[in-house]
Amino acid sequence: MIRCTWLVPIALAVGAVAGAGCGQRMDVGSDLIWTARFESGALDEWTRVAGGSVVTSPSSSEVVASPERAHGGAFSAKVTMMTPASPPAALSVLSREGDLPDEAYYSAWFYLVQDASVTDARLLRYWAVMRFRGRSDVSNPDTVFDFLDVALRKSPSGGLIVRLFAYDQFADAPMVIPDPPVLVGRWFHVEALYKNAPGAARHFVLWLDGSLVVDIPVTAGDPGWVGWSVGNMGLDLVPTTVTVFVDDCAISRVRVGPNGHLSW
Amino acid sequence: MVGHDSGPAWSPAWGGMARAALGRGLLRSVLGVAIFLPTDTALGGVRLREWRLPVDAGVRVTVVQRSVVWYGEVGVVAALLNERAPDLLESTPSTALEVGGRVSLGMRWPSGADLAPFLALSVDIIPQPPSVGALPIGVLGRTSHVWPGACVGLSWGAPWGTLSGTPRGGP
Repeated sequence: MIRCTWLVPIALAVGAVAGAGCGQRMDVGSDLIWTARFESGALDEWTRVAGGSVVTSPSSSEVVASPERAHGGAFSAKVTMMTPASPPAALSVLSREGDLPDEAYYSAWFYLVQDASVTDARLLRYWAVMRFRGRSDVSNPDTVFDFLDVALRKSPSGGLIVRLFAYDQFADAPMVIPDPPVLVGRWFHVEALYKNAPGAARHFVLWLDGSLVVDIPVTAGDPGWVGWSVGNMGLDLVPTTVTVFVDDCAISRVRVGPNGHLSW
Repeated sequence: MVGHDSGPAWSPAWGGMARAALGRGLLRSVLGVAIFLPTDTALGGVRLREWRLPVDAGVRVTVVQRSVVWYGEVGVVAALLNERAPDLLESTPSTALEVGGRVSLGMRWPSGADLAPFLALSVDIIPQPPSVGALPIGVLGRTSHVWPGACVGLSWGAPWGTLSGTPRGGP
């Protein structure tokens, strides 16, 4: 009887050696508020939530879930826009409005299929991939205004760079990094922290591929309401039709960064 | 006693333990179980609430001196480890089984009565501890490779061996 008890530690030792090589992962939760990864092959992550929508104008522009390219998984959103030569500008975006936190990180991955001519002529010719909107009166839905655009411009050397256009100033916001570049044919990550709580200091911070590029205080509009769009917005581009792929969009309570995970 | 590979190194945890040494003589088999109260720690900047329930089996070598009985144990341990991140927006408790080795050194003061006080130090060594992950950060790190502990209590000499019961805690 007593001798048999020696088998217990021996058996367990064998089990221990066998088990020692299989470290498990314990998933303890998430600080993600909302994500859109397009892995269902549809845009329902945007359209099924309150205040979420797909907006295209003119009708020749389109947004579709596509397996052509993907940052993570098998699908992304293919956002195509045909820009007119004169206002109103074209719009081909995935959008969320209202029902968003007073303070959150907004992020998405973008892939430019082609270059386009974008001068620094402000609204006469422009290209933007992310937009924040506000309300001048938070209780009045008719007071929505365009607020901040993450815009693409041509650098003096001819490459594409990122700018943050502030509509209330009608000028580009000061940059921490002068001309942060983006490359055609390569995924890049844009993330913004928007602190917009009533009664607190309002602030906007922008990162490109994890690098801080803009850090500004916010004064325009009423706090407490946010509109956020990603995709293609532009006017008078050459070529007139431009396509951007968008993937792995997130609204998060903490910074996602280029190395963040939206799923396991 | 609990700890992690990153974040605050150690957080003490209190609990209780029961052990049975089977047989007579200087070399015996031992079985033990312990349970710890939940404690707070942190990993990768995320606060974690965790509890642990280890079960171990091994062999005990006893050396009898005039006024004290020394004993050393070596064996294997399997522990249920539960982690919860209460500060996350969406907190999902997660439990894993970790397996490793255990060594212990103790001393018992024999007395005329059946009950004898003892003091023991032990360490659980987990070669491949589970990793802990949270979105969007990713993997926060691994739980501890080493779980040291100390216990004091009373042992009881039963006809078939010795039983030890004790509150248990880290320093």
